[in-house]
Amino acid sequence: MNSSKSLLRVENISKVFPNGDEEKVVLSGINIDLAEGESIAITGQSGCGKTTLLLIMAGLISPTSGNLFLNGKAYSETSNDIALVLQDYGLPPWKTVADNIRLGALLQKIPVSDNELKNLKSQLKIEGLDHLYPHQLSGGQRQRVAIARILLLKPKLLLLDEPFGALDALTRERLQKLLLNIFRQRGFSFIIVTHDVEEASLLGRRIMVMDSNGGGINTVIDNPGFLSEGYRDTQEFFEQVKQLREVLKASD
Amino acid sequence: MPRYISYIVTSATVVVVWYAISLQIGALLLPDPVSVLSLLLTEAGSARYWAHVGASSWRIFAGMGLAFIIAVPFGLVVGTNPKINKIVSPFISMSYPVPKIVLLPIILLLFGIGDVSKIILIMLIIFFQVFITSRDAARNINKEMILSFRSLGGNKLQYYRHIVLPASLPGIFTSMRLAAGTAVAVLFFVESISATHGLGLYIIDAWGRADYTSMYVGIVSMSLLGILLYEFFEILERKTCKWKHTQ
Repeated sequence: MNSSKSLLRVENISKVFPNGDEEKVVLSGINIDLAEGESIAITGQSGCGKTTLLLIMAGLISPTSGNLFLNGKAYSETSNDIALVLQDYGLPPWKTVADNIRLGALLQKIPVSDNELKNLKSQLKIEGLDHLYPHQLSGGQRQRVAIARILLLKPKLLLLDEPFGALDALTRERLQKLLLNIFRQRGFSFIIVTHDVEEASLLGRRIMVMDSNGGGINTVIDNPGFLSEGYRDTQEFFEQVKQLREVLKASD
Repeated sequence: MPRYISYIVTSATVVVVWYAISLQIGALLLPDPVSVLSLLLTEAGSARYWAHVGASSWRIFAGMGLAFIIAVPFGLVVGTNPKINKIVSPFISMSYPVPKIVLLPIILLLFGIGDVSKIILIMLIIFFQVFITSRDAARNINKEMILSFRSLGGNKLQYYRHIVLPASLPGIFTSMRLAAGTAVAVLFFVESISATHGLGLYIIDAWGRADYTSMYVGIVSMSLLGILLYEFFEILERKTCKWKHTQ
């Protein structure tokens, strides 16, 4: 699955926010190299700057210093090759499911065939919901719609900020499985930010642990069992979770 | 209960209560509803009555329409641009509490006693209500939705079309419904001061002649105008904000 060609390079990124008369360093010296078809899970304590880092990579916030490269080209704004999925789905409540799914394609003027839409909805199990509004859906369905909207854009890089954090355990497990299936089939790269140790161990080929008090990346853990069949139920997965939990405790 | 049934029930209740009060205080002060409604039906057949209704309707629709056309885009732009908001808001905060109705003599001096001055005064009073609601609605849009929309590649114009306007519409229509009552009150005031036609003049003229049945015909007509305006914005909201009315 992995190829060695670099897709995203984050080079020495730092972010400082004004805090009254002082300054608060949220990120410093962040370096990430993500290959095409690779996945990274970023985890750490609440307030360690995970979401800020993701928004910087999405081109939505400017870093105080450092550079971002996509396919070797520097960028500082949003790109059609990068898509973002947030915890609260970001679905405009005044648009029906059908309109929400098509929104990104409409904005980027990407033609979408009815067949493509049908297949996508079938893959994500959101058929028959077209005329409903987001508040008429369950949390899991809303997140599936948000993912469908993104997949229609065929991004090279998917950035996910705690995408399953508001869902119950079973729905979360189903959507994690769904994400991995789509990842296998479509071959994009993704970076997921999560505070859930098991989720990070399941979804990241590499797991990056951030310092708790606004620093950089404290530890990078390799996750060789990633994507292997039935990984969640193996002893290897259990050991991986245990190791990650110990690193997190040490970084607190 | 369907809306029209609730209107019929409410109207019937008002007529019964009106009739009871009329019996208590006498027809001289409060003519009974049957006399008023039969005179209203007679008046509805005269061109003179419709000239009054037409003049009032034109002024109120023009005043509210202008307020809507100017205040909504201005409010949305100010609400979504913190820098512009910082400059504009102090002016709004200072001028909103000033009772605009006291500006009537100045407006009459500047624009004469015709329709323009009346429309401008209605527009001026409604403008602030609609502007403040639009600005605040645009300012309070969910931040995550904005981030998500930007990440989808939406440009500024698309942002206003797909996010800012629909997010603000329910608040805007609420302010327009509230403004309908204010606009009718202002209309009565300006038409009672200087007008050759209009329901305000119709009421004041009947009052001056101590023709209380005609006066109540004017009051009922003006109330109907207010109700029609209210319903117009209610229907517009139901058509454009369908998502608000789904379970």
